[in-house]
Amino acid sequence: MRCLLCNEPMTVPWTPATLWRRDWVCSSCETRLTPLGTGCPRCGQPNETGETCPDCIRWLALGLDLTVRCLYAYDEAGVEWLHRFKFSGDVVIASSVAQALRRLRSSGVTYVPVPLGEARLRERRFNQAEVLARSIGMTKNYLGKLDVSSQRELGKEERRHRTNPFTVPTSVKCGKIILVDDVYTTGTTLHQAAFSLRQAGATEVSAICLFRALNKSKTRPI
Amino acid sequence: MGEISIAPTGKRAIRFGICQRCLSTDVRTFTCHHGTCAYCRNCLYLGRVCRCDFLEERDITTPLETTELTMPFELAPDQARVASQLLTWWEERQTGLVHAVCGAGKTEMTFPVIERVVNEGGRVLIVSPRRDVALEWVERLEQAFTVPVTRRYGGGEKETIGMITVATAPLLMNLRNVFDYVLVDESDAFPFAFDLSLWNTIRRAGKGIFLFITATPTVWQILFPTVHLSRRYHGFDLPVPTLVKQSDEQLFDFCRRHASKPRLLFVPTKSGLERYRETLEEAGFTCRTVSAETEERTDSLDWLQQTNGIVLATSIWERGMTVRDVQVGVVESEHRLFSARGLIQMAGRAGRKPDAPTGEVCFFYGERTFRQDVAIQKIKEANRR
Repeated sequence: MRCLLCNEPMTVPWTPATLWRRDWVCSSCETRLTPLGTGCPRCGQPNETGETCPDCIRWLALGLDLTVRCLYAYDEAGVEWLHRFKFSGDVVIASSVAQALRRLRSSGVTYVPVPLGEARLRERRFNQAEVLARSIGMTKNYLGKLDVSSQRELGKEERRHRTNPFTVPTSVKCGKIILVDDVYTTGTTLHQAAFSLRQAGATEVSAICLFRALNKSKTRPI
Repeated sequence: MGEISIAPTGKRAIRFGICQRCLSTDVRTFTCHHGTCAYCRNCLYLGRVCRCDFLEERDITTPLETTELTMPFELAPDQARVASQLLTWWEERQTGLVHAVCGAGKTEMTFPVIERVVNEGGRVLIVSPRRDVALEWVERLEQAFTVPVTRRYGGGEKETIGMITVATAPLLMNLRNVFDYVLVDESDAFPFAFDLSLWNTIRRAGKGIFLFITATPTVWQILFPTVHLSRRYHGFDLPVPTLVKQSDEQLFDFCRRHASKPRLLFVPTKSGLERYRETLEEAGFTCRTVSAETEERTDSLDWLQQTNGIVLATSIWERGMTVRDVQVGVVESEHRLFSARGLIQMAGRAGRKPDAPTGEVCFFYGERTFRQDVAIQKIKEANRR
């Protein structure tokens, strides 16, 4: 068997899963992504004390209460992984983080991926958030998105002051909703999406994010 | 007949679970924007193909050019013999093998035939096993020929096909029947030797006439008509390796003995690379390590040449690198990753320049193996011929 990520030959451990699991990741690739340590309970921004970070206090002051569970730090390895997944389009490597994502699954929850604009979806062919959400549990595409420019080049303030591109076409009829996205940078996207869902009648909204962009790292896009 | 690229019309990119561009079956399903779809994982670096894409085969339209050749130096009589043999093979449209020892000037021997093919309106492809070797080819070709040389390896531009193309094999996946003459350099090296699909890639890219160039041909390559060249262009013998029982003292002794010369130590594994670096640094030597993951391999090459330092390398450097007056040691030469062919190539790193035609080659051994004996025997045999 070859490793899914580095394509090096590897030996597969003998477990019952050996019979049905197709994609295996070797031990060196498994530890490449760095999990987040203690940090802000709302967004996972690392700090020693585990208190709410000033950015989240700002969101709370605006009346937006959203807990985001982030898994990995968006460092070099994270950038490389996400680039391969999202831009090169190697979709199956999502199964290397699927185990970690599946541990967050809880019952009675609908997972809603953050949508892509129509043009972007045609170009990329798949919605990366939807692939991640499907590996957790049942998904529903409640959200729609107006076509807006990419946030990649925007700074923190510009991102914050964007108009909300998310719409909810139908009425939301389920209890708990968990939003799923790939990277949490300033949180604007997720907070806007949560705001739209709440307005459409969702009672409880939280979020799961695969990567948390770190403020101090060089790879931070803003 | 040409280059395969993604187009709005054409034939389906993936049919029957086979990628039509690279013919691999590593095709995985996923959810595309229209529903269930599949993509090929094997040729992602050429841009993803999905089942909903179409592939079109376009002819190569770059104009045919003629070239002039300025030889970097006059060919020695032995080399001229090989060069004229290559010309007759080309006239007979025949595949052949050049079995020449390391450092015989294999690159320059092929220049006359490349010139002939180009001037007769044929496209030439030079395949090399890895990027470092390709870079060296490009450098020498650009000095000798007037036509531009197309680079088709990681880091070069991958779009155009000129008269002379230097490539690594994986980037030829999307070419069919393009090249009239294909030179396969180091044809027994690592990616080719173990991967049949890479051979098929080269076979599809060419029109059927090949030239294999190597110092250590594999069994099936010997079946082609062969021309031997067993003397280096400066006329000196190949350095014969000496066998030394491996211990730290012997290793330090080897490094001290050649303190004023660049020293190259081959180590079988990446973990061993770190281990030996630590032991050497504890003994007060400065050294660098080079493996497939090292980004600046050419940097390390320059560093080795200029500072006369020590470089620990994996077998990534066993071919295609030339350092003046380098002394070679092979650590743990009994390791199963060091084949007899690999050992011959490593020994061939020493004494490649006419102003420093000899050098010491040491095989450090914990155990004696047949591979070491075979390597030494082959080198002696070449010296006798």
